Amino acid sequence: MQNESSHLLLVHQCLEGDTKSEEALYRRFAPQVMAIARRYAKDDSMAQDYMQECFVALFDKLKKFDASKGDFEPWLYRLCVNQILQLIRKSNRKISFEELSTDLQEPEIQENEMELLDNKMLLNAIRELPNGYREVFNLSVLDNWSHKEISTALKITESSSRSQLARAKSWLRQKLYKIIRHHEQKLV
Amino acid sequence: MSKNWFEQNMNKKLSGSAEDFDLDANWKAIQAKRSKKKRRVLFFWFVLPVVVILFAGSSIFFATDHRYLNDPESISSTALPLASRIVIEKSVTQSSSITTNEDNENSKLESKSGIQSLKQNKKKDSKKYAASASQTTEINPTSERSKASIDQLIVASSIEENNTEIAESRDESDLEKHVFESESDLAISALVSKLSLLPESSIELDIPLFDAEIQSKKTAKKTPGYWIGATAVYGLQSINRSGPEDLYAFRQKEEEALEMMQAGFEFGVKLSRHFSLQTGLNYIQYTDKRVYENTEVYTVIDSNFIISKLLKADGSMQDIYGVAEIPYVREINETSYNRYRHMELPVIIAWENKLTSNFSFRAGAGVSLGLISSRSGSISDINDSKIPLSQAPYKSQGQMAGLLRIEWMYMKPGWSAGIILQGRSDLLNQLKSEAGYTERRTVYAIGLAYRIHL
Repeated sequence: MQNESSHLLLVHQCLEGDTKSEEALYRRFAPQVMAIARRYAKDDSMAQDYMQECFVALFDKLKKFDASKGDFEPWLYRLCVNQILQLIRKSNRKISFEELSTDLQEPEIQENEMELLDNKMLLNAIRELPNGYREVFNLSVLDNWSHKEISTALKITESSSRSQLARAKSWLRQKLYKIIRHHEQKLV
Repeated sequence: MSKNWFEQNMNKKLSGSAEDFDLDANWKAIQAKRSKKKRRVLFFWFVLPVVVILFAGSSIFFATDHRYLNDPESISSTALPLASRIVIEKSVTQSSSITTNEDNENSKLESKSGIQSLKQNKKKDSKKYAASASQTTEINPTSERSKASIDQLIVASSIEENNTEIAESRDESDLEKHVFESESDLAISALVSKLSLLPESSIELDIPLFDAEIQSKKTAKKTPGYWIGATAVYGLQSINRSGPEDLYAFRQKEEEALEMMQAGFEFGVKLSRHFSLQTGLNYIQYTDKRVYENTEVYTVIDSNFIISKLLKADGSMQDIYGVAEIPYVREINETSYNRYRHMELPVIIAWENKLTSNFSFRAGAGVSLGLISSRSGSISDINDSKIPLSQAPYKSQGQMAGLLRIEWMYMKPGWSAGIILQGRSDLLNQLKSEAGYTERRTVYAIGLAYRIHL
């Protein structure tokens, strides 16, 4: 609650044109926004570009923030995700769904093995997901969007959003299994 | 939403923040991008009025005839109005033949203008100067030789007056034709020929005054170069929506496109005999009928509701009160009208042709740029809840529509009025990109136009 009021104070000062408050707002939220950007970008330079565009859009649309409708932080993250999706569309990276081959016979990672994976490994695995699947996985699993919202944003049907998420998850489990085995072999 | 272990693990590990990047460098990049964006916006709002002003200014400039606005001091034969230039040059080159048939031609001249003195003077010297005049290819009005007396100028002007067609016609080719076809034109030709044959000392032709005379007549009868006007258009519209089925299907179902009304001012410029360019300001209002039908089922908990009746042994009834959930069904059937208003800047290029002396036909095509727009009414959002149209993700400006126009105008000196048939279709999506689907309107309309020609 205290955090939220300090956010609101910063937002208010930003709206009055105080550049120091803008920088403070940036420094407070840049790490989180960068984390979001990294999940959608193919590499780090693209992620930095996404992050920068998110803040440009934030300062542009800050006057639209309505505190009576909800907290600032979720509003900011949602704005960032929308902005990133827009950038993906603009960069002609058409959000299309290629055939994602998942073998039902292939072993998948088990719950206890997840502990062996660090943040970077997971991020790399997500980045290897083909276009479309990566966006659906990110939106659903990591940004907690409903399938209805995903279908609206990506202009697909709800059922295809569900099926693509299932495929993406299965592909990722197999991929992570392989990463762990590879990691283990290296250690041996 | 319950999540499985895989999703929970992923969420837990990736929901943190990223620290390993250069905060300062990125902040500088953000500031650079923001200032670039600001510059771009400022540039757009600076360029737009400049373009409009340049357009209007250049249109007025090109629609105005500048040939008569030259400095009298600097007039040369090529700077003369076409009428006098043709007359003079033609007369010079034809002077030999005029001289040969001198008596015949001069008698015509005499009967038309009565310039006896001029005739006598020239008769004496015609043969003497015929050869030199036929060799002359250029007349310098500022030279001694080209000066004529004021009397002679008045005579020349009176001859010009006879030839009203010259002054009436704006078309140079028409003018050339008229100059050498009628008798009076021949008289002008002969007159100027004779002026050129006069002894140098007796010629005093004040060309600027001569020009001014022609110009004043031309200006008085000139076809209008630009106009201002008003239009009122009414039409029927259709909406084309596309996008995910579930998003626009309910809009398609609940909204029925009705009518379009348009009123505006216009400013037009004639670019040439057949082509014109027009712009202005249009106010457009679309009206849609919204029929919202829904069945709401809700439960009210009543803590003091008769939940049963007890039939006693003595035959009497006793009501038993208790907490009860009472289901209610409410049928909603609501009809309202949604209105979408736009202020637009049309730019139309049109081709025009006179059908008769009073009627003309115009066909034009162009674009209409959205300057500002507003909406009133309400729509259902994806969760079937009613939201005001003002909060719906419609663009407030920057829309663009294609226009096709056909006009039949009744022309009178100074004004014209007529009927317009107009087709209009949105070229860009009316909704913002985050709306998830596109919406474009097409309108077929009929209207009236009234124009004052300046």
